[in-house]
Amino acid sequence: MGIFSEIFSWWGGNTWGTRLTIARQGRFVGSDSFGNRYYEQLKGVGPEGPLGRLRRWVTYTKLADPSKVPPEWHGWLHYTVDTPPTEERYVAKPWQKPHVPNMTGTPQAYRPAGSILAAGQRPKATGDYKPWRPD
Amino acid sequence: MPKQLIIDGKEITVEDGITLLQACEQAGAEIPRFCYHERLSIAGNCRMCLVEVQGSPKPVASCAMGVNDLPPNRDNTPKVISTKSATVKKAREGVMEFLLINHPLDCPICDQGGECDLQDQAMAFGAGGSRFEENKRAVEDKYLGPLIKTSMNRCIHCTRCVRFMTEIAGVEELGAIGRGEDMEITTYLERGILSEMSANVNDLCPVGALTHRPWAHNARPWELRKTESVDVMDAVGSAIRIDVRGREVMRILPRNNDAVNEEWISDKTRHVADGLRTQRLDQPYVRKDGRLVSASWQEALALVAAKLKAASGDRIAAIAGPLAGAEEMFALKDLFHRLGSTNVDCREDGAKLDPAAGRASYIFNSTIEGIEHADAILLIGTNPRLEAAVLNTRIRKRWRQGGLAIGLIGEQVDLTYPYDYLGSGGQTLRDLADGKHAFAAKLQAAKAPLIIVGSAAIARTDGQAVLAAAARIAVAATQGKDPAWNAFNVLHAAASRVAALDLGFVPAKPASTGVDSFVAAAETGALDVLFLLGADDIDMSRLSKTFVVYQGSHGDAGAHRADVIFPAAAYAEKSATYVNTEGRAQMTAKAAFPPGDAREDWTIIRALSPLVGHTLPYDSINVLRAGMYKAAPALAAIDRVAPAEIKAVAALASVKGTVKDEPFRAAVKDFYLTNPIARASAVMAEMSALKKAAGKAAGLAAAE
Amino acid sequence: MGVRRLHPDQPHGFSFTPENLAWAKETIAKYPAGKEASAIIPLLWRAQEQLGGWLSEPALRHVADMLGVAYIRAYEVATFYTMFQLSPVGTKAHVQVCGTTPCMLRGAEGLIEVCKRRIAEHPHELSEDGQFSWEEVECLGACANAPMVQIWKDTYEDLTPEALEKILGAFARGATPKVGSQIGRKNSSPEGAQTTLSDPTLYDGSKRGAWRARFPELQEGGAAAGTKPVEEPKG
Repeated sequence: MGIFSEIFSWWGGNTWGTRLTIARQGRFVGSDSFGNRYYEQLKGVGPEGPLGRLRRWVTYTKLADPSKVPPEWHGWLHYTVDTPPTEERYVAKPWQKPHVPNMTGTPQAYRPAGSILAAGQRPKATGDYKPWRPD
Repeated sequence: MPKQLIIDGKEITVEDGITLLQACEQAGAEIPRFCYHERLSIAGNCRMCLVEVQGSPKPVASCAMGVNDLPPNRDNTPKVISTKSATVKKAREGVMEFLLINHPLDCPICDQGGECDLQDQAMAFGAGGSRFEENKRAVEDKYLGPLIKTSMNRCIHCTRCVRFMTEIAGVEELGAIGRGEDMEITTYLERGILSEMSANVNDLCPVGALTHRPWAHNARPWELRKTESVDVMDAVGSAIRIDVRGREVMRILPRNNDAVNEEWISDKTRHVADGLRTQRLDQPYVRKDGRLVSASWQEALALVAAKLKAASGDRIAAIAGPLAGAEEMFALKDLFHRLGSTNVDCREDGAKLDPAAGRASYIFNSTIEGIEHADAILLIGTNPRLEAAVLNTRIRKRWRQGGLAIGLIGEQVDLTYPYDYLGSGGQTLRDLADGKHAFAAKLQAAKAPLIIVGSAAIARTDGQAVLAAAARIAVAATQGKDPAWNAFNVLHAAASRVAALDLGFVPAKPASTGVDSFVAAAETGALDVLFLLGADDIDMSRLSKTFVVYQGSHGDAGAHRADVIFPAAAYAEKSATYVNTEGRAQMTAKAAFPPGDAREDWTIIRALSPLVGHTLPYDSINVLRAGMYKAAPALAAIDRVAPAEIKAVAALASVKGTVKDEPFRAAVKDFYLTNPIARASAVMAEMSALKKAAGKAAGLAAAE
Repeated sequence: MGVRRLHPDQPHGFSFTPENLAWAKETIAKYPAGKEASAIIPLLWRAQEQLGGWLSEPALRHVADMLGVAYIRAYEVATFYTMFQLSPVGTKAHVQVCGTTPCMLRGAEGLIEVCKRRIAEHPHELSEDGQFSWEEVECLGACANAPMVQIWKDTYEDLTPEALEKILGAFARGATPKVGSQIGRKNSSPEGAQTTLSDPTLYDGSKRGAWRARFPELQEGGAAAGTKPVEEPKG
């Protein structure tokens, strides 16, 4: 992201405000496979987060979209876990699918089988009937 | 002697002979119960109905305690009974705890969930939690046929199902083997139950041990829209409730109607539901170059209108099938009369019934409730078990009370009650009519004799004579008795028949015309257009030289032969009037929408009428009904049955004719496949195959 | 008592012997017309005796047909009553060990051990030679002589494991062991000699009225107190 867009837009990655705050108060914790960067507040610098906890931040690469945060970082970001995945040996469960941001509103949006915007046969549903056909 | 009781502080006078449970209900107290059922014998084994009776050291099972059996107080004050005391509450909680010991907690996957007596009563009368930490009993599931799904872990041994099969259905198949905790409900070596009424045990089961196999895990009761309607599978007109989700009929359950079906329905009535979503006609078809191709309504209507307009009145005809409602028959008859034709007939089987002879000549005059007052019944050429299964249970109910003589002329079959087999054919009927037969004396001696003529007996070539002979027997048997008692009864098999006769959906004179003459004319090419209103039971191969219009809901014989198909609504998808065999007009309700382009029957005929140049003067069903009620006032008396003029029977008795010797045949050969909807149902097909196989096995065993 | 169900291996067919058939007809005739079904228990019992102590499925059907009842009704009766054996029993002896409280307290468990060792691990199982079987039953009404077993129609009482071994040995040899108490007492009379009611003064009249000595208030009231009721009669 260029400096120009950082000053004049808020939807692409950092704004100069957050850059300033993070530079003053935060320390870099790690980044995920999408290139999003995660920060944690330094102890004793700036106002405390909720319940007296240290505030945690994410800055996005390109478009700011919270659904880009993968589950392992999501847990850390929302105080579900204390240790960020970079500081433990995090391995995704075998049944976990690779994380995909919310695609709604894009051509990659999810369409159930049999939807008029997708191919395939829709499963049987209430109200279906077998019509009679000649021969 | 009426008895005084004080129930929960309320003084009440109850009649003799009722149980304490009934007395408590009359006093407005709610008594929980599992094994007790009003229409079954009393078992008293669930112990849920405990109440406290003054002077009794322990709580009393109110279902098994008659009010007469209560010992009187010394000072003759009324007995004080409490249904709400702490003792009763504790007793109920204790019973409930014992019942739940072996009951699995699988309500989330149980089909009974949401309409389960045990669930409801555990909530209302049970303790909050469980103290039972041991293992629960495990019971193998039993095979009870394709209609009954069992989950025997859930059984609480109320024996309602055993009592129903033994007492009401009259098929001693179910029983409780073992004792104590090892008691299990089963059939002998897990034979499937073959009874026309078997699925009623699923309703009776207060838990989820017996549920409906065809609907297993399909729907939850709270997501279903309930519509009260009337059954058309036979001419009894059982009260039913159609449960719909979205636009699909999920299930059909009985409703209480003491005058008709009490609270039972036949398996066909119940499980025909899946026939409502198969083989449906959902778009108009027109035959082009020998092939049926789909067409628009305009195209199909215009083609039929052109054919009707081109033909003269005597070269067109209409036949109404067994499921046609009164409204569409009225509209069709009206249209044909406007086209100058009286060639309409509802007697698809060729029954020799004439509405001009009076209403009493073609209805079940004694009424179904009246069966319970009868003390002698003569069945002529009918198998009520197959033709009207619910009515047959009424006869069985009366027989169980004792003092009922039953005679049968016709096929010797198992009717679930014993009867005197009088003979197979006309000879016996002639003897009876002449008073020469021994059974005539029994009818003479009876206070309330009942003569039931089957619809197949009057569909024979000598049907008129059979009808006259039956009327003669009825007149002779009621001579000098209660003049209000009409002993003459016709048991129809088709739901549409009585309404059609009320509407005069028969050709005008000469009487020789009818379905047979229409078909004969069609065969020779003397008929230009034949309009089939859901009529499938005629020989389609003879119709090759005429233009056949088929209006109906299912693709059956008629649709295969048709030149134009009008897709119409089935009985669950329209509000139509049906008159049952007693002459009781009842109305179905629209529970779902017809599929695809199908329309309600009367609107199709109404839409056709302007195209042939005779617009029918009704734009709404209410206007149509007003006209219909004017033409046939009997149809306006919804849910009531007015006694028909008894003179008609005497007039019928004077009709001349000789009954031929040939044996009588029953109207229904295969109970499960009597109409297009049933024939489309996979469940009915399975039951039919099973019954055939069982019949073959029985034949082999007999030959062994 | 375990789950009582029909045995998986069933013989083919059943019919009463001529004598039993005549007896059965006589038994049925004892009941009023229309109530023939009441004869089901005696008939099933006779069928069990004819089959050597157990009831087969064809026998159930045969009896049901004779009485005109549905098969399921006969099945219900046979599975309800524990006196009907639904699996084959030993040809020489079927030992019914009473396991109810009095017998248990007096050592029925030792008898069951003997059965398990000598006959089969589980009740209703045939011994390897097919000659013996055993089961634990509820009270057979000989509590005074506990512990006891019943074999066929006779009871063997006052048993010890050794005595039971001896009895089983006798059955195995084809001998008939002594029926009743195994320690020589008569019926259920006291062991050895009479232990109660042995005071001769009981019988010479000297104890007459002696009970009054226990009620001092009666003695105060004098002779009249004997006729006067102690309690005031109620209103």
